[in-house]
Amino acid sequence: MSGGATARSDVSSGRTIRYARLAFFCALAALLLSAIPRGVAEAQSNTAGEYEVKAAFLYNFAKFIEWPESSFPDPQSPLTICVLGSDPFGRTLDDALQGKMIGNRPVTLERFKNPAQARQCHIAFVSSSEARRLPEIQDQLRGASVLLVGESDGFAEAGGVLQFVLQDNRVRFVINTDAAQRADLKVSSKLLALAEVIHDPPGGKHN
Amino acid sequence: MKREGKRPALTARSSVSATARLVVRLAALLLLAPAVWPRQRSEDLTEQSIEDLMQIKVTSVSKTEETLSKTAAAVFVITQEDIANSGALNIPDVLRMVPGVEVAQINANTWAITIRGFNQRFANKLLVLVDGRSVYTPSFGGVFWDMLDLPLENIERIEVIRGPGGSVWGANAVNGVINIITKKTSETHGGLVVGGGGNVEQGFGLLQFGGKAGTSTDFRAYTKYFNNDHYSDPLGLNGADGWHALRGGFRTDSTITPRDTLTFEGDIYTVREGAPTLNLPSLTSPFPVPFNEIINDRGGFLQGVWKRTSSPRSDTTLQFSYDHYARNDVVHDHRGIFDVSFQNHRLWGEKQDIVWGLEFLDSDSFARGSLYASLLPARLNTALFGTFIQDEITLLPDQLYLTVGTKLEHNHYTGFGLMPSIRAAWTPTRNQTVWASVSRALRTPSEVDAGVRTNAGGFTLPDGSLAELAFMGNPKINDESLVTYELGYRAALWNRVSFDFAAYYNDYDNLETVEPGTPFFESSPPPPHTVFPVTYQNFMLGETHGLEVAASWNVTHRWSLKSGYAFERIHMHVSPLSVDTTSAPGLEGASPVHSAQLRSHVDLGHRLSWDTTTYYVDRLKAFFIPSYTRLDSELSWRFREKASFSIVGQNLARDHHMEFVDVTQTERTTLVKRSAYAKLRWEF
Repeated sequence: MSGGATARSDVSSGRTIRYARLAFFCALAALLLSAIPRGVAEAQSNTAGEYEVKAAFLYNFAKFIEWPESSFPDPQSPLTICVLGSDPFGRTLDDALQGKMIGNRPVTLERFKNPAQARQCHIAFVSSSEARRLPEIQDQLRGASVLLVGESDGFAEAGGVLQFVLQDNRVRFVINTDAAQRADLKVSSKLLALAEVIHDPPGGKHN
Repeated sequence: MKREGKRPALTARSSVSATARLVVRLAALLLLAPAVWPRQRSEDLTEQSIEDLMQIKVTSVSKTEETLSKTAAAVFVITQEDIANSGALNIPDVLRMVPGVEVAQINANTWAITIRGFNQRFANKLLVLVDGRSVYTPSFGGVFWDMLDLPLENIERIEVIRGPGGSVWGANAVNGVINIITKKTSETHGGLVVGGGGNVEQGFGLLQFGGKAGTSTDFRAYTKYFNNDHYSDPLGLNGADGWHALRGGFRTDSTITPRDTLTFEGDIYTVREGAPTLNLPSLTSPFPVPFNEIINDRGGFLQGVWKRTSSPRSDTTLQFSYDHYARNDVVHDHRGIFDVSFQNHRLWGEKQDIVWGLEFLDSDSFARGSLYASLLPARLNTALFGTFIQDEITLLPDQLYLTVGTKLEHNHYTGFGLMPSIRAAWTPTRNQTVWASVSRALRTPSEVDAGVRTNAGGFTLPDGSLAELAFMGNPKINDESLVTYELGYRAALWNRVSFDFAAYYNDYDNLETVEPGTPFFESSPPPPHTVFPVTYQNFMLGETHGLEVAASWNVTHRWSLKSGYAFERIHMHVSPLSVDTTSAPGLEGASPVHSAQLRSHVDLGHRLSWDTTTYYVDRLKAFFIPSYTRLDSELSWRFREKASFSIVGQNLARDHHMEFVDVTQTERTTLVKRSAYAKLRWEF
């Protein structure tokens, strides 16, 4: 960013320098100011990446869902969270679940392309890329207790158990209690209280 | 960072180096700061309760952005958040954040805006669309930015595509396309009141209400007003360019069947603005004289879009619009534009994604001129037909895509034109895209190119008779053409850093120059006189090359930085037939070689946020305008869930500065001045 001086610039250079200095100190002051509340401010207005938050939700859901005993070989066997289809989380989910436990169970993470492989999952995040295949996925998972989580429009209505929705840039979720029942999953009342609860649409093919 | 040396050494230097230093200092400060601070433990979101997680505002990548990140073109998306954080009150100021977009204000109500060079008030190589409706006027070829005053609050995003978009959007999408996309009405339920004022933006307000009508229709209606003070001209006198505007509009979105949606929108507006311009009082006057005109613009549009999603693999869109305006500028321009377009999109097999479309546009105009400037013919009806097809071919799933397409258009002046393009995108990993493209674009003649008549002044010939120097359009003018070669790389790194790089080489042909024509005799208007005309010819060619970089970094959960840089070189050459010595250097010197932006957004906690933006623009050699740095800052306090108060300072770095000169002098330059305003925003 160089350039020769033009005839006009000499006139204004003194003023420019003054403002340059002013701007510099304003920026410095404001940056220092901004550093202070970082330590003390509460979490009320913070922001984070969408999938960082969704990853944290996935982990938290596990605390409020009760799987049938047959889902786990023994009390220490891991709880498996899966991503089905193209993964929107990237490293975020790996980082979030690193070394995490639910009770006595370690949490493991798997990624699958083929729905049939998801039978071993406890929570399966169905990527938008696979949402159109939801009926097929449900067929494959019939009889297995898998918490199907999605984020595409109409996912819960179409028989998914839990669907993320964005409202006012905040992550909310919808729970289809009929779908949870079909998968033999017990959803805690606390989670239901925070969710928008829906049922299978009347006349739907699940009845 | 090095401690600053002796200060006196600085004073002798030019403002170029001073502003450069300012930029460097700010940049270094902002970039080094996090390294100096003790790093806060990065918050582990999984430790938070579900209730807390539900309160976190997420910065989401929409589906569109996801798609755009894999596009084989230089795309920049301005989100609603970017707009709100910019402190800008009009679209030109919003566009300043995009590297490669040249925004220069001529006076309080007139801008010169282009992408990748060729800037002028009538910048004609940039196409601008609002919800798919072109706002590029066929009269002079370009955009009346002062008439494009839609509420910024209703914009969902602005997609800026640098480089040709002719293969889809057709003629005049030469150097770029700007798509302004407004929010769906389902997102603007409830009332919204925005009001404020300051020293330049003396008073502005928006009143809006939206909701649901019946079970299947959402709507909103708004009205807005502003009154802006004038600037001063370079002599410190009143620039006579103050302006005010009143606008109202609506939009409805209906779901008629599960497969069909119908959208209507429309606006009406009236603008009254001071125009420091020129006028020729009589044929014997040796040159045009400064003249402060008052321009009144009235206009409005209505448009409808019917979209049918037949299946997840196929959808069809039918769109019509009617746009009318009356603008008593130097030439009084009354114009109605009717546009209808059809578009079909389908997946064909597993590997091909095809879009094709048809378009018809009719422009009907009446131009009432003056002795100084007029358009011939005064009444004109022109039609345009276009068709395009584009196929995105998956060569390797999730990895390699090839997009080929072309548009064929027929216009009133130059007949058929073909604008093909071929683009390839390679996504070696989820977070990286490498792309390349070759494309051709055309700029078709405007009504000014073909039929303007400007009387530039009278003089007396040696034999005592009167002669007139006139500027005349050329009805036989040809298309200007461009072949562009582009290369780009985009990456999202470590979830917090994203990077976008684009480089281009543009090869232009048949560019316009101004050449002398054959003198002729004219008896009307009296007295009889000889006309020495100059007229447009396609006698110039040239190359431009450059690169643009955009990077963003979420430093912490509370602090994000976004930066941009653009470099450009323009080389123009006239053919041996030309005697035009000004057009080539004029174009070369009308764009900055370097420009840069740095935006910082800090969430201060306690519902306070602080935004600062620095814009650096290199000098414009053609107009002897030195480089300048704009500094804008906004402090915003959201004191209620749905109410916020903000204080904004604009152009804080200088008392006033000059940004551009309109070579036609139909709008004189005034100086952009330092300003501040306060704003209250309340949703209910």
